[in-house]
Amino acid sequence: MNLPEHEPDPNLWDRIEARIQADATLNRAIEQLPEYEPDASLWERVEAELSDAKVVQIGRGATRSLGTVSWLAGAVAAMLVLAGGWLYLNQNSADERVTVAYSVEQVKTQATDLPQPQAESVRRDEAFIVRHCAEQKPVCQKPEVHELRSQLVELKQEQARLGKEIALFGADPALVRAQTKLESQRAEITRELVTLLQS
Amino acid sequence: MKNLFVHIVLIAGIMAGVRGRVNAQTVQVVTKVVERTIACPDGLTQRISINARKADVQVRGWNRGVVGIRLRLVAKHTDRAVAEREVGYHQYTLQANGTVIELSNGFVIPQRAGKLQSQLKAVYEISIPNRALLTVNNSFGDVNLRDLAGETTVTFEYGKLNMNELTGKLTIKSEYGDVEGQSVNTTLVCRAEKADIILRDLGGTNRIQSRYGKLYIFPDAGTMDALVVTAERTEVALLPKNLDDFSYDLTAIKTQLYQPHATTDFWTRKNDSELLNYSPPGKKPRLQITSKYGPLHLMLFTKTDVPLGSK
Repeated sequence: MNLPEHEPDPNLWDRIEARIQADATLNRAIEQLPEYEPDASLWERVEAELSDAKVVQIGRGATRSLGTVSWLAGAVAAMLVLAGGWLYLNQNSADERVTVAYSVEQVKTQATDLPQPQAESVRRDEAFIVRHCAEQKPVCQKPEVHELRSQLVELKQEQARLGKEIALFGADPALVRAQTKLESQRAEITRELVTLLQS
Repeated sequence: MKNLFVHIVLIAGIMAGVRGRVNAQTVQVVTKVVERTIACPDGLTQRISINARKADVQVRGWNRGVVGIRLRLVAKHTDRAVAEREVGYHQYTLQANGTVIELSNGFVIPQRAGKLQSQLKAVYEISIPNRALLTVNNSFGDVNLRDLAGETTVTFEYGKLNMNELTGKLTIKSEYGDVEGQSVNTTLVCRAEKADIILRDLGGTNRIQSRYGKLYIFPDAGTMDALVVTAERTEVALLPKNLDDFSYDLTAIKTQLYQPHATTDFWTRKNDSELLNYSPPGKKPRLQITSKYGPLHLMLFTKTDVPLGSK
């Protein structure tokens, strides 16, 4: 089947070129536009006007007329938002491109706690170390024991620091992995220390 | 010896991502993507400085005189409105500032917002001139470096540093952060605390310090120049393919030294140390390791011996 042939309008390229030139001119002009800061007292004035206006509740089935002052305040606010958005986009457009993407994904959540038996055994071992060092001080003053105990203190401090991060960011996978790593380090050093004290 | 193999497989498995019991959940993901290129004509007069926080950082070298940046700022939450609001808590800087190209991210959480609800993460995908000067700082995220031949410094805590095909100068400082390298042939200075380190086909000149960690080194006979390791309370394994490719100066202080049968005649004990000095005929790269309080293993490695993680 033969489709009908069409010739483009002879002025088409001229029109496209003119449009490109117009865009370029506009972009150059935008770059040369002066920047303005809003008056420092603007918000106070807007707030004052807003507080003077009637409070209007917009809800389902409620249609009420807005006062002139409210309309003006709304218009000013809308203009500010648009101007802010334009300035923000224009500031980035020179050599930075910002886009926002949306998606849905399945994330894997991990258990944040150690298996209870291991955590319990670590606590038990730590209690043993404290008791043993209270009873036999010279043993715990040996450099090897002292070094390991210092490491345990350091690990506890690190766990406290990590706890603050988790309080801020939640049980994020990277933080949970860090927590698991610290727990295993603590368990390993505790075990080594107990072995050393028992030998 | 078998135990060590099991251990290496376990560590490699953990480092490859086998990280325990998991459950699945559907979340809304809002990603702000920032793309930018910054001129970096010769890659030598400007330092590229990446200060990342809670970020995955991927840097690869290319043969162009620009730095290409794609920064993804991600917020995940079951409620899209929450993710949309909290993606705005990400802050970033991507700018050239004199002789430094600064790339950084952080978080500003307004006090009135209360506790953060979304999972926030930043992901850098950066291409740089392959001979560039690069500095990376990161915490709680992974750093991936590939095809770099300049001067690279990485300081990080937690997460993992992955390296592939690197030459030039490399400095690593890690606390609680693991390191895995493949074909790293650099002048390397590495200081690691509480880190698990695996270096495969390691070449170049290497000075490594490790405390409270694990260190597995597979030296490459073709590219290795020298290796000096000082380890404390670290399990160290040196795994050459052929024993006679290198000369060995191994010292295990207050710990045990494990070795193949072929070198037992070169083993001695002095006070609380075990020593192994073995030099095959000819001039061979020298591998020197001192390990204190952590076992030191010398064993032959062939790829059929141990299925190492993802490799």
